[in-house]
Amino acid sequence: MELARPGDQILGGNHQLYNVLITAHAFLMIFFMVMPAMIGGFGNWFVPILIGAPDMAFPRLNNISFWLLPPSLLLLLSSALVEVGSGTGWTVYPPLSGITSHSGGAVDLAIFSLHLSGVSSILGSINFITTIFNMRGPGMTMHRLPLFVWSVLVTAFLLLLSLPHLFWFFGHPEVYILILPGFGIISHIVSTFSGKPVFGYLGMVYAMISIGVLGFLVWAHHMFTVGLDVDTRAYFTAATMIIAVPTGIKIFRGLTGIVLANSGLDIALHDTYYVVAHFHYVLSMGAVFALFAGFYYWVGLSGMPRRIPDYPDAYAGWNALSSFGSYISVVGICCFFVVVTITLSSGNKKKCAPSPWALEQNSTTLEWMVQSPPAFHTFGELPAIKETKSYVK
Amino acid sequence: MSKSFIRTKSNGLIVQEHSKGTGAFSASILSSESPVESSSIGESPPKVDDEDAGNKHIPGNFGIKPLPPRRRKEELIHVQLILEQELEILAGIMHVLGVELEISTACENIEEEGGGASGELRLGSRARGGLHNTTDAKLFMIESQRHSYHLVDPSPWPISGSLGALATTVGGVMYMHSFQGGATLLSLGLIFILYTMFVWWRDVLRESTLEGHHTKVVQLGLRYGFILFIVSEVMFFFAFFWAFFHSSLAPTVEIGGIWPPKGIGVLDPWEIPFLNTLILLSSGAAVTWAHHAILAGKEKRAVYALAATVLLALVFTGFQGMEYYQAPFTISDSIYGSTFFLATGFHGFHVIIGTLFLIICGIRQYLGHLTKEHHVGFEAAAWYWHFVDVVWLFLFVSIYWWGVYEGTKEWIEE
Repeated sequence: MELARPGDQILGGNHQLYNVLITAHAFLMIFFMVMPAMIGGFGNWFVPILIGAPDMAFPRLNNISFWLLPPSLLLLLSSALVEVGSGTGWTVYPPLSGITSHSGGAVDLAIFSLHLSGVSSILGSINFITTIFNMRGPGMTMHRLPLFVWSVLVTAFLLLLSLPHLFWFFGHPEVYILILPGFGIISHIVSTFSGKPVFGYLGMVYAMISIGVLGFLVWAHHMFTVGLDVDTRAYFTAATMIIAVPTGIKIFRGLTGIVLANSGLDIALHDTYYVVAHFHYVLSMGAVFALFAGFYYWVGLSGMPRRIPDYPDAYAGWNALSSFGSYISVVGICCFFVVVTITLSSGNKKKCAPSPWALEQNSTTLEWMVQSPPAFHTFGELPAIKETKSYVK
Repeated sequence: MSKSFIRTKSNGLIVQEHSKGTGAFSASILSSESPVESSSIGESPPKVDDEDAGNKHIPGNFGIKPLPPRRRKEELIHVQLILEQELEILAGIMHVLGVELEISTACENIEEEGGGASGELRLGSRARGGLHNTTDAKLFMIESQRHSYHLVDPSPWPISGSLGALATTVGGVMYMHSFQGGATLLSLGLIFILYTMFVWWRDVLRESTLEGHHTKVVQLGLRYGFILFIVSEVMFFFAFFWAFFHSSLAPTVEIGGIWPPKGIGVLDPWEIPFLNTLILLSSGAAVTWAHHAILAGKEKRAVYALAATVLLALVFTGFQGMEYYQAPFTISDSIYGSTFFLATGFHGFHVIIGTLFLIICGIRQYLGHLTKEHHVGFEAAAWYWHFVDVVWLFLFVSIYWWGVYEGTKEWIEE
């Protein structure tokens, strides 16, 4: 709404407030929406089921990973509310984050918030790696692991190695931490709705591993402007282009059919989260978020300044359009929460079928073969996995 | 959830039950010396000659086939039979030990959905354990555990630790910005975290040593977990070395374009730092001595070796403290002081953690908790100690030695 029209709109020219809002938005979305939802939520729920384990390796570690998030969230919110808030952007670069620009405790609170969520993620990643290495059911070899499990495994390694680190070395793997589980989820969904196994399974697995390894080698492409010498920039440009190869394998080979255009268009993480929540939402959401992507890409290319809540009049048209797009996505998000509320409050009357996608007959993964919702500790006896004749329609 | 044990000292067999409240039952048979193998009693259900035994009597088979009522009845009776056989095996083992157990099995709600068969072991008048299986219209479920993972009981410590973390961080911010009560909240938070760590790991030791939950596969999982933790710690120190080399390899004009920066008086690497290197390496050797002693079953010798390790560790920490006290620069003296104290300070902190870990291992060794075959706690402590050792070697070579080279050249010239 601030950006819907040029000039100062609802923030009254308070640029610090604008930056506090975008900082809080970035942290909330990255560390309290996407990561907990992807890894903490879907990962914790489905990884043990998909590999045939009764639970995660260290359930109490999992529990503290979860319980560290509310204190962390509390710290983040208080950071935005005390003194002038922390308007540092999610990069928290000095000297903007230093004592001369932010004299109060706001930045300290934000940093501690990240410490706690970082500890939470590291413990979680230790848990995932141990679970996937040590608790696969009989016959569940690494090359039979469902793609979502692989994506969580690679993500967990990225978290483990990059989190205790300096900013951009963490920052770029973090991008893949956010998107990889989404890739994994999409692979499952595409496989389900196209009624056939994932095409190029091993290619997908090694593409994810390559993305994970290369993710550590491209970090400086976020800081081309800081005065790196030309050789360094040449290297990071090349490395960044190389990482596009496995990413291309993931998206264009893996996502066949109708999802291709949609997900290829927009690898922004948000849409992948909604894909799972409800497959149909992704189409509208993906398109809406593609608008955002288009906004940043084209309008940003023309030189619309970041982190300043105003712009030259020339950008007014596209800004109005993308602001309208954001209202549509707000409506979409409301729909999502309405559906969740109805589901949770309607009791047994509107109970979903145990396997709504009619997968009992030809399921390729374990989560559709157990009760819905799965029993506590899912498997009393470990399920044995065997190869069967390939599925012919 | 109630837990009880039948412990027979004569030949060290422990039969253990758990989750009595839910009727689930599993038994671990282990020697008193080495809680190695825990197997749930139903691991290999007795074969029954039945024309369609192949597809119906596999408990836990989640191949989801609705059972018609007639089959359900057969199934229950069959389950009852399996339970009885399993309990007989268990009672037979206990009979050898001189403990007489009564067995009773029954089928419940045989005509209804969700009916079950249950079995019970009785010692005198008290029930000591039971098995309970149910079938319902859709699923044939088994409640007894047929795998060797450790499904932990709910614990309050994760949430208490998180609250401690909240108090510590909020208190820390308040303290740094001179708010009233900041120091109090910070200390309370830290105490809360330390208490949580103590009781949490106390519970783990009880589950491992006294209850025998740590089967081979659980031990392997713990090793994986600890190695991954150390990997993450390596990356943590990687960051400090990065900061150090970033600042020292191409010193900026602000610090005079030289390293060590203009005006910084540095420490001589060949005095206390080199002595500390020798001390830490010796303690690394001592912990290996302890490991060999444990593997050879020399229990007393292992305690001595651990005591030697801890002693050397304390001397190291003492010397570090002394040097900090005497250092001619502080953490606020340029990027040199910042990187020096951040890197060596975090190393020292890790030395203290490792020392505490080794002390606990020494106490457990003295109490006879650690055996030839099962000493994951000690292994983890030893790995951690070697990790701390290696970090020190890098600190010594890069920060204490290479990092002061230009500075010491002036001394030599003088």
